[in-house]
Amino acid sequence: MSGVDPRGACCVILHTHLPYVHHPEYEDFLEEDWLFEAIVECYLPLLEVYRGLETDGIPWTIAMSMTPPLVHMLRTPDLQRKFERYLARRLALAEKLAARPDRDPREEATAEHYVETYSRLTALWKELDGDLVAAFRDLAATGRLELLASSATHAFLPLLGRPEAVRAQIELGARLHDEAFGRRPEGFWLPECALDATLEAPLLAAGVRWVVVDRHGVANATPRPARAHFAPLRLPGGLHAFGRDPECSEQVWSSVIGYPGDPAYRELYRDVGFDEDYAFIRPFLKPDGIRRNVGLKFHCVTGKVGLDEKQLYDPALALERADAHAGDFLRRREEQIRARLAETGDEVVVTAPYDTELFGHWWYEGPLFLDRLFRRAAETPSEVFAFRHPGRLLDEGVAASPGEVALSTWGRRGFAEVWLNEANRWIWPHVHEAEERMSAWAERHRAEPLSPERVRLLAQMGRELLLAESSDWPFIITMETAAHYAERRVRDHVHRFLALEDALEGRAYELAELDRVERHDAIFPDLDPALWAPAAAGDPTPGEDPPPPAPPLDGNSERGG
Amino acid sequence: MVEPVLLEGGDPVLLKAGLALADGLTTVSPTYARDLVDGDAGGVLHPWYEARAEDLVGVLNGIDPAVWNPATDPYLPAPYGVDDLSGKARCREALRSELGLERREGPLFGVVARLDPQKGLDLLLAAADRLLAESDGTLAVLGRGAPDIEEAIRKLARRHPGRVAPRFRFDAPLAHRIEAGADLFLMPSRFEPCGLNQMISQRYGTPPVARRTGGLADTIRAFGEHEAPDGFLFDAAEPEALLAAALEATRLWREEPETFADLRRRGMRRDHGWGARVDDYLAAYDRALEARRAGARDAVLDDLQLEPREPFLAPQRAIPTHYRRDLLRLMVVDPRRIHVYWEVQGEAGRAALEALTDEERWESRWELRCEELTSGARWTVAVEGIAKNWFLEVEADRRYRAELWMTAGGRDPVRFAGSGIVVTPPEAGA
Repeated sequence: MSGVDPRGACCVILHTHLPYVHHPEYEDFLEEDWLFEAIVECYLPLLEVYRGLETDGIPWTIAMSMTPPLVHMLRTPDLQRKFERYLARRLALAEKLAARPDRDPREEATAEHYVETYSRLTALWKELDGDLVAAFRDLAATGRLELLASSATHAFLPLLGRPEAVRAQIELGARLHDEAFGRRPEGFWLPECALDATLEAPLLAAGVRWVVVDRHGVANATPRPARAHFAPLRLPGGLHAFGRDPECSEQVWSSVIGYPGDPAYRELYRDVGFDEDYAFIRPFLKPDGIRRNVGLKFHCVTGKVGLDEKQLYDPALALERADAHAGDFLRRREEQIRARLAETGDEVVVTAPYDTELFGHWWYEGPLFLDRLFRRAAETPSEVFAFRHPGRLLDEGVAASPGEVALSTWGRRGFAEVWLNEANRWIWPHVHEAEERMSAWAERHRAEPLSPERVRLLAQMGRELLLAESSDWPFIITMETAAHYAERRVRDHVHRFLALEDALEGRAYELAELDRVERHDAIFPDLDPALWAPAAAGDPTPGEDPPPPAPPLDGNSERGG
Repeated sequence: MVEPVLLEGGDPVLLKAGLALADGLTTVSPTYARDLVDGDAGGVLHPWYEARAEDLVGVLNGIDPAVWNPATDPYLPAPYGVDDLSGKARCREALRSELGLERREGPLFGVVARLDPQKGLDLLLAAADRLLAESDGTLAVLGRGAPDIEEAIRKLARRHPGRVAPRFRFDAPLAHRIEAGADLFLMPSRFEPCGLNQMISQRYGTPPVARRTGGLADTIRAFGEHEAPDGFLFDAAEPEALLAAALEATRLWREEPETFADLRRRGMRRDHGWGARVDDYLAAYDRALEARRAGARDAVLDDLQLEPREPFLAPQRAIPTHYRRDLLRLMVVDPRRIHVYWEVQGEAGRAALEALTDEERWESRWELRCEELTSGARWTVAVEGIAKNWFLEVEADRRYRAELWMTAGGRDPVRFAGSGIVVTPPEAGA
């Protein structure tokens, strides 16, 4: 019996990631706006919420991943400068909208809300000197926020080819976490919650204690855990996996039955970028002048009606709903955990992981919901459960089910089809080939060290490989959102990898070119290519001919499928 | 000296050179031109088709109306024309007799094609039993090609004696007699840049039932869609889609003879000769000359950065098609599917391929030999020679490996590559 008290625990985990999009060659690059939107809609509002709770002495408990691409982007001066311009433009638009004499009086509150919000966030950004990474690090020091590391570029680890490539992704993620947040990570966000049995060893080698998987990642373990996903799974080597609770996910995530579909909440897809007169909105559009969403919205979800039938948004009413939903979430956890406790008597751990972008971007009132969640929980503490950190539960000896895992993810249907299908399978042979070559060069470098200049080439090859490995590209291709850009990114990184390798093999090039590509794909500035060197002879290599050679599969079998 | 941008994997690629250097570009149908620019028909050269979309024109091929004329065709037992189709009925009876097909209530379906997966023969094979049963028809197949497809057609004929007549040879006179004697002509092609047989069958009063791809989409006005239809089209490369279209055509043939006769006559009146195409080509050449004068090509080349000014960052978007390796890799998609990809461009692979005669290479059969390691169960999946990847259907919670083998002519099978072992997960469950 362990000392977890109360017997129920709820772990809220936010996964914070964006693909590395950095185009210093353009002053205004559409896909860089992904970061700026996330900062103004999610990261700054969440910081506000966390700091507000802290100031008011409200206990709060959130685990939050910050992936390396995001950390790198948040620390890139060029992107910080571009963000300031972006935020100033949003504030200017809000002010212009609020000052408009012919504005519908019912829109006044919303217009004022935007002016006030963006002014506050501008002040916060200035106070933090644009250093969001430091702001999150400081909050983590209070113990309220537990930060998780993640892999170097959000790679879908089970589909990588070589164990060295997997190790490099994990170890680089852990090292960056150490450098940015001042400690080696205990919790590690597996990109796409993708785990299989091969990943335990490299995760343990990087010092990782726990990861998050989907429900079936735990519930389908061998042997089947009697406590299903309501207790962490302890893998054979000692790594712990917390299984996502589908009930928590649906309540918050589903746009149909979940909170974000409430009629009073702000409608994401109705935007002044399309609603306003062209002459009025033109200064706030991109240089190409194409109408796009600019982030300010004056309508609410309303119901299942067309965009032109949406009703006007009322910020005060939305706040009331967020508060009610926070109460509902607490009540449902209480019921769920109480029922489970009555049934089994065992401790109950409910794991509630979400994409951070849900809170503020997809669900505008999401940060308010989190704020109300912890304030309400503090006002009326539950007797059966508390919000806890997974790592602290492990410290306190929470009972875990022993088991071995198979492949699982939190993607559609629970496995790899989102990242490996007809549309994106062409990516993988290139990624695997680059891994092979990277490991071969790292091995050569270990046997006979390359000159410093050639190590620079090799390190840049490593960066290009890492960027090509990002799970964002196959994901975006599957979702058909910015497929053209994602395809281009894969091709560009593979091309750069091969061009750099040509240079390593002796083709003449100019140092200025190397400077430029280093500035462009500028992740992991101190990258050590030795990370890709094979660990030792005889290492098993998944996907290759296995040692010893298997007997050939010769004929005399029935033809057919 | 070859410009580096014209290389793929270190080899010069003439098609790419043409795409880069030509002043104008033509392909053999408007739909195929669109597939090259907007779809995936262009493969790794897609960026080039995209870059030169403005200069790419699809002009359909034509047929020689003197050679393909049912009124004067010397191979037919009875001539006929659009105004008198009685000769066509005699051609049908003669064909049935020549091929030893039974008299049935349903239509006589004709196929004249190279027997390979491009032509969708596998779709027809998968649909054939049901098609024969539900249409009460007969099937004449002329062509040669992949031995496994021939074998499957032989088996089909053995299952349906008197109802399926395959002839595995190149036989121009018989091709003419099938075009004339069949009631419906089947072309389930997976892709078809232009295609000629659908135009011939239209001219011979034998409406085509074809997949909507490339030139088939451009030359056939589909029943149920076009106000003046002259054939039948279906979309999905699935046996069910072919079956549905062929049965719909059968229904019309059987139950609405007047409508069917109109459809047939419209096809016979279509002008698929070269006359109109010549004008399209002249227009394309005029445009090319105009473009040359305007320097359009040079602008495109500048845009694609033919000069590698910045080798590392240059937006040279085509990447190699292969890496000169012999390998086979399994990747688990979900409990029921494993993705396999392979390459046979390594030294051993290329040496094995180069040792083959052209004939042997043409007839080579490729297969994945698979093993489930717990039970030791083994099975083989025939794959297309040109394919580089496949989805294997497997079972949950098992261990698998696979190898790629090739058999050519009378030679011993050659093993090209083997995979490591992968494990499928259990089903996700509720």
